[in-house]
Order: sequence, then structure tokens, then C-alpha cells
Amino acid sequence: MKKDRWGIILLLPAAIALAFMIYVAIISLYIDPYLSDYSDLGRSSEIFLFYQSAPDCPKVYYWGSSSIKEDLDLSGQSCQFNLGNPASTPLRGIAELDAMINSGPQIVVITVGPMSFSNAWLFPDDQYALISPYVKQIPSMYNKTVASLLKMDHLDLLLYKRKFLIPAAKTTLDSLKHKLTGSAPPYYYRTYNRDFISESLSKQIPESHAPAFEKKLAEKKSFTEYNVPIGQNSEKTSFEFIIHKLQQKNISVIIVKIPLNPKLVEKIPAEYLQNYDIYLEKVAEAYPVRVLDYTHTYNPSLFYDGHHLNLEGRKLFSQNLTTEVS
Amino acid sequence: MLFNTLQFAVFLAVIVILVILFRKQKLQLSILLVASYYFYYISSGFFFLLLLFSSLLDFFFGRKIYESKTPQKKKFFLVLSLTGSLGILAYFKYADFAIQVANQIRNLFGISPDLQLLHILLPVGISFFTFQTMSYTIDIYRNKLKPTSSFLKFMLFIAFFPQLVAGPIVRASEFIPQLVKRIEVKAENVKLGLTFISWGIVKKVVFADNISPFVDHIFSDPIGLGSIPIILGALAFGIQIYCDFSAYTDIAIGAARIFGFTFPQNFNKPFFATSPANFWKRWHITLSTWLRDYLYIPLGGNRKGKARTYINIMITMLLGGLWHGASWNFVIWGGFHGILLAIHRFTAKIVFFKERLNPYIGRIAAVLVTQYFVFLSWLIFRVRNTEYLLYSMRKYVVLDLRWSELSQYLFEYTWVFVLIGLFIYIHFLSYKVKDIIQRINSLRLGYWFLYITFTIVLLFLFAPSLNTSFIYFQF
Repeated sequence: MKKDRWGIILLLPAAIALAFMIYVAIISLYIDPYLSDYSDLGRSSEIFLFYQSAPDCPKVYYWGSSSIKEDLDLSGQSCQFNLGNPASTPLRGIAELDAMINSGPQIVVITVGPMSFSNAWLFPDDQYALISPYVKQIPSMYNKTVASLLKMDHLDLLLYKRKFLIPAAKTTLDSLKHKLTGSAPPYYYRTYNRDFISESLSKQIPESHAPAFEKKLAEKKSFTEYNVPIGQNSEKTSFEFIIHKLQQKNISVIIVKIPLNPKLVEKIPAEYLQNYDIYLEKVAEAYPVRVLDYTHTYNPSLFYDGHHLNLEGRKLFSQNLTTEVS
Repeated sequence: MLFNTLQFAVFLAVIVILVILFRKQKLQLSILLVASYYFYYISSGFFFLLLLFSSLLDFFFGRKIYESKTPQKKKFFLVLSLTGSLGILAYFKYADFAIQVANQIRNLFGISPDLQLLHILLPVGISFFTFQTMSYTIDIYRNKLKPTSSFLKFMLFIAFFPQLVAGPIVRASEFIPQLVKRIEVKAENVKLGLTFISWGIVKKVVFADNISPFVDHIFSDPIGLGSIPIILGALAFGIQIYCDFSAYTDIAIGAARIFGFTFPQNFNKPFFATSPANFWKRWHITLSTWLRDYLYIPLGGNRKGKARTYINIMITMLLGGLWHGASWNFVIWGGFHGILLAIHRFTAKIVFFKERLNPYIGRIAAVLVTQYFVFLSWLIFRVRNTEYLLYSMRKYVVLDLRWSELSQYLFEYTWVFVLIGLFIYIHFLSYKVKDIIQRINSLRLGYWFLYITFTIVLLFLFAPSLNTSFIYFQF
């Protein structure tokens, strides 16, 4: 009887160990491939891998959010790289700054929009967590929540990744649905995440204008999420910190104000855009740095939504920007 | 210290090992008592002194009642005991609520300024342990129980950590006789205990905690929603609160079982209740039987005529509602169940349906009608904002079906609906196989090991990042 008792008690640690092994297998065989192939979150770590193995040439980096990732095609450009990362803001940019500097770029083109300085567009926490093993130092600009995500070790991250089980299962269901009914397949992000030249999601989207954006335009009176507040906030501080650090390392910095859909501009309160312009003028003067303004350059037919171009607009913008930068 | 944490697992393992190592009964009970007070200290700090005071009070009055020679003297000590217990409960749980009500009445008559609130912290589990101590002295008064001579055993009866903060409400007559022998941690008890615990943790962590964000989303601002999301929200909350509370009970029963103690059943497939009365025989059974034995029957029960029976039902259910918390919501919730019980009692005599319906169809219809009202009552329990509550109840009762909302929520919260579907399936299965936990427990060791491994995998995969508290902790 006593033997049985200890037998059952000892079975518990054995069950925990076996369960943990099964868990690790699920993460490695199911969640990791999902993050890498079916989620844009996977791009965060891919960027770090790129910095580690960047080619040795006078590199030009185009840095920013999905706007630049979607809008810029660098095929045919020698040693120029599109490092756009969905929902990135300057605050998140700091996390990859050291790695980027160490990879030795000659020019860094930082692309920004009003959303880059509005606190309403903060980078998803998940990406901080996923890139944490790549980040050695945590700059003081990060708040406590983000710092804790950046401090995750491999075990923390392994446990954290369970939260992607449902999205991964949803993607599996979407793939099945696609196979059975011919409905739209889930977006495939593998090449998108690993490509730093020309890959964009717009290639997988059949429409050249997003119906959801048109609906939003009709429903919303104003787009307050583009608010650029007067005075300093953590995004602005991070932005200036990045410029300062790059210049300190003799890396040339160019700022690009991304193209905005005139239909969107109409609905952004005028003072927000005014604050945005004034702030960038001040930065350009203080550091000093060249600013290329594409805010009002293109007409609505070239936009997919509020601040992403469609394939036609992309072609034009890529041509204009690369010419101006070189 | 929450049951769904690693901290508790380690705590329980240490206590089990200590109880195995020390073989003298007094020492074993002392270990359990110290562990229980430590457990309470972790969740409630120095309120453990209140627990100690409450134990001293009723241990003393229990003896006094028993030793008193005359009925008047017995009654006198019982009144003192109840005044003490209810006084503590009233002060800590209801004082601020009473002041708020007084202020509302004063405002009605234009009296100002408002009386200051006391902002009293609520000791965790006070409603549970107060009811336990009360049952002890009342049972002695009724000559149903002899007082224990051991203060150690009495203290352990009140403070035993598995049931201390959220029940089940264990009576002295059920627990103290189990303290006669030395504690033997037997293999079969460890296995059954772990089966209960794992079943409970899965209910809490996989079901309740993952359904809760959907419920929070619906009821954080239901204004503007049609009937479908409100009904889905009510359904989800009913399942959430069951999985949360019954999980706590399962873990409590399991933890006690490891030491060889048997706790009373607290839930018996409540979603198969065929009437409001039947619901209360299946939901929070230890509370409903406590209210029946110590409130409803002493009030006269159904022995003093029809009118008094209905009044007694209403008083019992209103106080039962108030037991859950110092808020009008709980009073109304209790009152609503009182009305349901009264209507059922009144209509049960009408045999029209019973005679005409096929028993099988009649049973299904009875379950559906009962659950319709039970889930309606969960709205009162969950939605604290009056405007939101009235809106939600209106949408639940007067159907405003917008089918696009169904597809929208099914798409957005697919996982929650998978869980709800799975829960309904398991609940149905447990109805079919009667005692699912015993069935799992009777598996051969190899299969049982696989079951435990599977539940741990589920915990690894589905536990939310933060350890969430149990809903019934607040009571």
C-alpha cells in the first residue's frame, strides 16, 4: 500500500515532465511554423537575423512600419533594403537599434507618419516578447510592461507562445476552409517575413482598394488616432534618440514623411497634421537632417487604404523615393 | 494563495509529505492547522486573528450551550453565539452597504450631509466560515451534536485550508467525527484526490478563464447589442461561474481527500435541473441545505400555511442572495429565485402538463424552461450597472434577433464557442455516466497517468498568463 502511495506521488513529476515535452513539441511543430509562415509577428525576429548576416556593402536601410514595407519595392536597387515592419513605431525601433548599427549601414531612411508619434499606435506587446532574446540592453525609454517582455528568457518565451495556439488553429481552419470551399486562403507571411527587398502583402490581395477603409471613411467623422500631441511623448523621445545615435556613428539619416490618402487627410483634424509638420521641422533643424515630404503627393486612386498604397501607387512611390534618396 | 497556482501545488505537496512523515495524530492535526492559518494569512493577512477569535467564541459558547441545564440558559448562550458570529459578518460585510442604504433614504428625505463610509476590508471567506461556526452551535443547541473537547480539532474544522475561503460549507457533524483516527495518506485517496484536483483545475483554467473575456466584452457595455450577444453572454457567464465555482469545490474536495477526509458534494449537474427547486438541490448544495436547515425550517418552512410558506421562501432566498454580497444585485438575484421557487410551487400543483406530455419530452421541456430562467437570473448576478442590467434583461426576454451578430461573434470568439460546445458535451456525458470523476479514478494506473499528463498539457497550453482569482472568493 505504501509503495503504491509513493508510486502515485512519483507519477506526478513524471506526468509533468512528459506534459512539458508534449508542450514543447506542440510549440516547435505547430506554433513556431505559424509565427514564421502565417503571422507578421515572425518578421520581428527575422529582422534581427538579417542584421546578423547583412551583406558587406554600402547599405541603405528603409526603416519604418507596414507603410514602408508595403509601399516600397527595391528590386533592382543595389544594396538597398526594405526593413519595414508592421505596426512599428520609434519606441519599438529602439529595440533593434544596436543590432542595426552593428550591421554597418551607410544611410538609414526613417519613414514616419502621424501615427508614428501618436500613442494610439503602440507596437503590439507580442513583438516585444518575440524579439526579447535578441535584445541585450533595455533602454530606459521603455515602460515597465515592455521591459518585462524584453527580459523574457527562452523558458518564459516558450510558455508565452501558448497564446498563439488559437490564432494558429484559426489559420489551420481557414486553410481547410479554403481547400474545401475555395474561400480566400489565409495570408502567407513566410516570404514576406524573410524578404527585405520587394515582398509585400498587397501581392496577395486581389482588391486595389480596401472595402473596410471605405466603410470606415463613411462611418467615422474624424480619425483621432492620428493625433500628434504637442510636447514630448515616448515616441518622439525614441525617435530623436534613434537619430542621435545613428548620427553619432556617422550614419546618414533621411526622414521620409509617408504618403497619406487625401480622403484620410480630410478626416484627420487639421491641428494634428499641423503638429506633425511643426515637430518634424524642429527635428530637421535641430539635428540637422533632410526631410522628404510625400504626405500630399498621390491621389486616392493610388491608395489601398488610408496610408498604404496599392500596387500601382507602390511602383510610382518606389521610383520617386529611390531616385530622391540616391 | 490561489488553487490554480504552482505555489499551491508546492504548498499541498509539502503538507502531504509532512503528514506522511509525522505519524502522531496530534502532530498531524497541528501541521494541518498551522498550514491552514498560513494559507489564510497569505490571502487575508492579519484577518487570521478574526478567524481565531471566531473559533474561540463558538468553541466557548458551544460548550456553554451543552453544559446549560435549562432551555432558557441554552437559548441565552445560543443568542450570544449567533450575535457574535452575525455581528462579525454584519460589520465586515454589510456595514458599508447599510450606510449606503441609509444615505439613499436620507437623500430621499433631503437630509444631508451623507454618512461617511467605513471602507472596511472584507476578510476572504468570512461568509463561509461564519456559516460553519453557526451550524456548530445551532446543532449543539438542537441536541444533534456534542461539542468537541478538543480546541485543536474545532479550530481545524473552521480553518481547514481546502474549504476555508470558498466552501463547500462543511458542518461540524460531517467533519469533526473524521478527526478521530490518525491521518493515513492512502494510495487510493491520493489518486482520487488528484483526479478531483486535475478535473477542477481544467474547469477553472481551460473553461472559466478562457470564457471570461467574452463575458467581460459583452457586459462591459451591452447597450446597442441585440438579443443574440446578450443571450450568448448569459449562457457563457452561466457556464463560466459554474466552471469557476465548481472547480474550486472539486479542488477542495480533492485536496481534503488526499488526507482521507470526505467533503460533501456541492454541485450535481445543475444544468439538468428540471425546476427551480431542483436547481437548488444541484447548485451550491451545501449553502442551499444550510439555508433550508438553519433558516427556512426554523422560520416554519411549509408547516404554517400557504401564505407563510411563500413568505418563508422569499425571506430565505433574499437572505441567501444577500449572503453572496452586500449589493442590491445579489438581493434582487435572491428575490428573483424566491419568486421562481414560489411560482413553481404554485404551478406544480397544476397537473395539466404532467398528464398530457410524454415524460421524456416533458423532462426536456422542464430543463429548457428552468434553464431559461436560471440564465436570466445570471444576468442579475453579473451585470452590476442598473442601466446595463435593465437593457440586457429586456433583450433577453423580448427577442431582437440580428443574425449578423451571431456570425460576427462566432467568427470573433470561435474559441470561446468551441469551449462552450465542449462544456455542453462533457456536461451531457457526465449526466449519462453519472459520476465522471469516479470513472476516471477507476482507470488503470497507466491510463490514469495518461489522463493526468493530458490535463497538465491542457494547463500548459491554455492557462491565461495571469493567475485569475475565483469568483466566489469575494463572498
